[in-house]
Amino acid sequence: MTSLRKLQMNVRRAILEGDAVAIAAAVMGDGMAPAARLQVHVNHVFATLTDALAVTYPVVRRIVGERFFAALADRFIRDVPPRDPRLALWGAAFPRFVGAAPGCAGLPYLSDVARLEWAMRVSRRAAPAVAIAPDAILAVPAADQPRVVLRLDSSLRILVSRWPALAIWQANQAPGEVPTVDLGRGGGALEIRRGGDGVAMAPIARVDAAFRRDLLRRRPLLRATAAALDVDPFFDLALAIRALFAGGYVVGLSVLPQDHPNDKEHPSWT
Amino acid sequence: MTILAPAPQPLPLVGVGLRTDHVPEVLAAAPAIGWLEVHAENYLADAAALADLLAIRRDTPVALHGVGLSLGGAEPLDRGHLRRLGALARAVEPMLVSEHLAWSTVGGTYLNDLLPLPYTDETLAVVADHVDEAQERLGRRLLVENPSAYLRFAASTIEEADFLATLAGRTGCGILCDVNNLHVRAWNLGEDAERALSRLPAAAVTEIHLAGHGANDIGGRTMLIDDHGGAVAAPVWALYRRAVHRFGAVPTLVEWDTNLPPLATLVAEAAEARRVAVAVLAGGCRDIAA
Repeated sequence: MTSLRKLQMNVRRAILEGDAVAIAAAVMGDGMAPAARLQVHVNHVFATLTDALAVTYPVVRRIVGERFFAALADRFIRDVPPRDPRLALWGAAFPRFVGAAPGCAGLPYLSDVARLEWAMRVSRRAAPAVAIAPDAILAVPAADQPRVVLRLDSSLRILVSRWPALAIWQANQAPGEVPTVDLGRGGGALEIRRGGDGVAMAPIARVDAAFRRDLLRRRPLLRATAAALDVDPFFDLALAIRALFAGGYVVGLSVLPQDHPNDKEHPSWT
Repeated sequence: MTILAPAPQPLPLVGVGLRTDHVPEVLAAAPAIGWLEVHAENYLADAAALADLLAIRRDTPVALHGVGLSLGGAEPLDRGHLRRLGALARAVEPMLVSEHLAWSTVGGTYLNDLLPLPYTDETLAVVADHVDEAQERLGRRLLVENPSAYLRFAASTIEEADFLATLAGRTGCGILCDVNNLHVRAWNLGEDAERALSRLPAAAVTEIHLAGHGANDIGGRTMLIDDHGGAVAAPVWALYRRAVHRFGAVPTLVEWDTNLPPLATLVAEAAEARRVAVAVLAGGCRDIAA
């Protein structure tokens, strides 16, 4: 290992593991303890990354409180530090992390509220796209229509939860005392999508969630329909497609070649 | 008879660092700002933000300022990051692209800080290779910024300004002189900022940064923190006068990142930088002591 790499690994250890012994010997004190100088960098790393999480997960932070959130963030930064400089991509693992954190065991819905906040963040950052008109699907020969792949607005996210995640999120928006949310009312499917200046969230039927989730995975109409029928045998495909076009969800359309892996009924990669 | 008028002095272009909170205002009003600089990393995984930036770019020149390339990292540069940076530069057509004399990535971890380097021949070889590679892949000249500092390494054998001068000579890169960083470093390490400024190669300096800093008491000593969270301090304005005198009318940028005030405050500070620069350029050396 080069001396530069060794020094940098020692700085990393000082920051993420709190072990500054090795690096302190390489740092000039200049009238102070070398560790106190290093601490400026440690503080910067944790403060900025904690801020990044707080911006993405404001409701989680409000539910657990600022101090506990800081402790969660501290642990998360050490366990799952960013891998590259695109901080927008970092923090996707936080919902699972809070779901498994011992201190959050009394808040079983917390992980799903975090998933909702992550979905909002992804939605907000999606590329703007222009909806296409339904003529496009009519131009496809009937025999090819089962293999049509509808490309949906990339800001669309689907979340299925057994908890009333949206109600919990909404209860935590206004300042002041948080209204009681009846956890016993159960959950359901939610749709998160950019609209106007912000992100809109609305409950949707589970069957629509199944259908749209498959389309988001770029699966052809036949497979998405099968997924929807698994949820509701009375699923109405024509109605579902009409709703997508009417809502401006469809931004592109292609036809999958025959024998494409996405076209198989039970592909091995699902 | 022809009267020869004195050649007009070129005026420095002054701009502000564009932060997310100010984007709606800039989009709505296109305020009179000479140029804007953005952190490149904020646009590498956010298509919505990029669409806004491209709209802003139609009215105002934009510079890309990278914080995550890890030029001083001992490990190879992240090719994917460099490729994305290149694609962003092709889309934005920035007036300048800059990075830092620092490192941030090691062992597969991005540490989200501009971490200090030992200034040695080994480091110089690493940084020069990385700057060469970045310039080749981006197909353009890179400016390298002097970072603020809270510590120095016992292994260092080269003064920072000399390190940057050699780097610029070896790679053809430009230098982004951050006068606040010069001040913060000099204060924290007991060095001389004016000496550092006077040793930078004037021809290579093609951008200047101005920003505010905070102060923390650590064990009875005051450490200056480069938080970009306040007005430019008096000693930094003094250094700026010297910098303009040495480097001429190069683009100057005012940066805020914390305690972000209204955009108008940044624009006013940029206007102040312009007044200072104009006075220095008009008065030659006389204003330097002011």
